[in-house]
Amino acid sequence: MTINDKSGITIKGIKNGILIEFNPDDDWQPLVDSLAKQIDAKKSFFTGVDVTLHLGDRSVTRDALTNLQQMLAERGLPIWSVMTGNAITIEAAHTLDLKTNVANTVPTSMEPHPEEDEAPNETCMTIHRTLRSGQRIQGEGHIILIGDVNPGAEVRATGNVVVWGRLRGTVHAGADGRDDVIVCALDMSPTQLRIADYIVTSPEDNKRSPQPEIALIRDGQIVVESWR
Amino acid sequence: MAAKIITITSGKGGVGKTTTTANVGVALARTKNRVVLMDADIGLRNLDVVMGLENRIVYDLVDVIEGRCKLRQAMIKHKQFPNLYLIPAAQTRDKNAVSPADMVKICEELRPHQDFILIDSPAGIERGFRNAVAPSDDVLIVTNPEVSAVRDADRIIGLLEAEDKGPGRLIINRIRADMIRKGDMLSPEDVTDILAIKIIGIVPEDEQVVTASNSGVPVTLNENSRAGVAFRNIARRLTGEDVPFVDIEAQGGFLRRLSRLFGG
Repeated sequence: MTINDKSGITIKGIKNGILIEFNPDDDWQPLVDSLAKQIDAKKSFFTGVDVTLHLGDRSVTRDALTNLQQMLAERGLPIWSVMTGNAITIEAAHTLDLKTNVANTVPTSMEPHPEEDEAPNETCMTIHRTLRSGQRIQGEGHIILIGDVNPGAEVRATGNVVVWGRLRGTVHAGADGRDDVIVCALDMSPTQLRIADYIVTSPEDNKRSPQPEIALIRDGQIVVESWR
Repeated sequence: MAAKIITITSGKGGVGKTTTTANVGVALARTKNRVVLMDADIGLRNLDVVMGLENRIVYDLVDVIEGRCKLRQAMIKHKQFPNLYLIPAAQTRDKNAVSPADMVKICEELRPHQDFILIDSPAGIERGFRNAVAPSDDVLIVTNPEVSAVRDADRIIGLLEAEDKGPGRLIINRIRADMIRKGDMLSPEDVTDILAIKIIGIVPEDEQVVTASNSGVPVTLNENSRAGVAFRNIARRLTGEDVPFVDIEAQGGFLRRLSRLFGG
């Protein structure tokens, strides 16, 4: 079942509850108000199901997310997870102890999917932002991050990780075991770099001059080479 | 003119939040600004001690919030500057006695009658931090030139951005030029390299800070103290004055840039 009207809100039934998606161009508060109205109007459809919020790249503050969570909780709808690629929204969700997922990994719909056998790792998310200590991006597929990954921050992808900036935090490519993936960065000095089940740390070398490098698995170990 | 509300925070404890709040507050009051200092560290108050006002406390912040006194009654006037007040934290309660909404309400009540309201945040990223940040127009993040303090500052900046309060401006406290020169301490440039935010003050390590804090006379009232000068400069920058950064920072940055130029 899919409800999709001019309110800017799409509601879909999915395997573990319902998926609520907001039109990225509409203002936040009217969307929340209109969602409350829609839920009140169709109470029987919405009783006690888990909600997955699809917020895309929208930046949602902790206060805004708290309000939405309260509105849904009052109607017996707990938020189960938040799908977003926006670091502010991710941070907000984490402070509320909500699970986050990358925006592109839409949970399986109840309707059968004909193109299900399409390679799951070929989706790609781009994030234009610096990740600070304590912030974490996690996703199915590849992640391209335009900005720095600071020490204490974490990037985790089932595919490749490309950092157009300084990589100093922890990075894990091929997080579900794929070992044909790569990590590259303009300045590669991660606290810890993982590809599939392999782990390396950066050598302590203060005099190194930053240069673009690429890390991959060759002959059963992680090698880091300069990019030419 | 309505007051500007500035929160001083850090994430890590012991980097100099309270010292900074006291000194910047006194420096602002010296130049005839009307200033209120608020201690948001409920349960571990010490801004009153550093200001030398501990023995004058009758009511505190929690008394105001719970309606046992008027806001005016909890404001302690400074001994030397009649335009400087302190609102002390409660010592016998914890952070949950105050909510972010309480802080906003009190600050809005103060705002029309003051020029600056400085809020001294507790360490950490929990309730106390959120209380301190809720009413702020501007945030100053205090850090030391060490890796752990910088890491915590980075986390704080991330949280501030999530609350739409970021990124704030940076104060690097307890800098030692001799150690930077030897390469044993992070330079201001190393710090901003990671944090990527604007610096509003660089405060040198200064023994007189300890003496001053213990005696309840903030170091900025001592004309000979180097840290005191740095705090006065921060106050001037807060009032919109363009004060150039002196020696230490210019030197550190220049040497590094030079060594980079030669591929070092």
